[in-house]
Amino acid sequence: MTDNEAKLIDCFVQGLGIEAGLVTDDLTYNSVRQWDSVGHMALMTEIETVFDIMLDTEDIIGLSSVAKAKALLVKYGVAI
Amino acid sequence: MQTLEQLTRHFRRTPVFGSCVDLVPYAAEDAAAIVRLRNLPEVRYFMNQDGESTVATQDAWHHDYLERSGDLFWVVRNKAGATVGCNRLYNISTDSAEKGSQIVDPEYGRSSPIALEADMLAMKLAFNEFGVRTVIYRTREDNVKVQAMNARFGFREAGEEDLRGVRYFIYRLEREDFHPEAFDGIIAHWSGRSGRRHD
Repeated sequence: MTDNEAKLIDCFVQGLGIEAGLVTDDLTYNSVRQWDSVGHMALMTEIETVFDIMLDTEDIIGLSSVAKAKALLVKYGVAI
Repeated sequence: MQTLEQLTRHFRRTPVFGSCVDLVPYAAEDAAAIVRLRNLPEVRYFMNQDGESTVATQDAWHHDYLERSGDLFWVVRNKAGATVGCNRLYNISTDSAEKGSQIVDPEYGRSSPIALEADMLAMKLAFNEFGVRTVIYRTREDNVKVQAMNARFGFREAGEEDLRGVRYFIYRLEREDFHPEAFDGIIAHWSGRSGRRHD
């Protein structure tokens, strides 16, 4: 696991308040109670702060799984 | 100390300003925007709304609304001035208030914390300005998104009722369990984000 992948997992842990073990590529929006609309805002806050990026609106809406989060970070120049 | 009637009149004239959104007192010219939101299929389902809303039905509701105290209905506007939803406090008394009728335009709902801040502003008003001890909300039994959000705010289940043949759950939030500061970081981030985007 790369440093940035570990940071991303921690974003999910901190933003959604879930155990790290739940943060797999298959984790999707609304698949756990904690990833609701408010959790999504908290998660975006964590990702933008930790990686010092500002996501486009379409990417905020499109970030609907851990796998998509990784792909989006690559798009913003973060090596995963 | 102001009476309920005085407070109602005041907050029907005075917007409640937030960081990402404002609660703007409903006015007749907002009818079409609210009708559009109320007729969204998901909204009709979760509000258990039988017929189609029209400007005429909205105007009739507005007429009755102006006759009542303890009822505040707002249009939620973002900082660019767009109507992005609505929110309401009603049945406001010296002890309690109900929140409800919240709609967030799906075009905006997942790209900024509209529902979160609109509810925080309404509940701060209820607890801090009207001085209530309890805020209540009711939601359809299968409205899990709203239930999840309100569980984060500290609401606890307090019963159920049948409304036009549909089971609704009733939730209560006591003043001592209301901790809006838990969400300040999220709202501040998104507020600053908007500012940077407009630079």
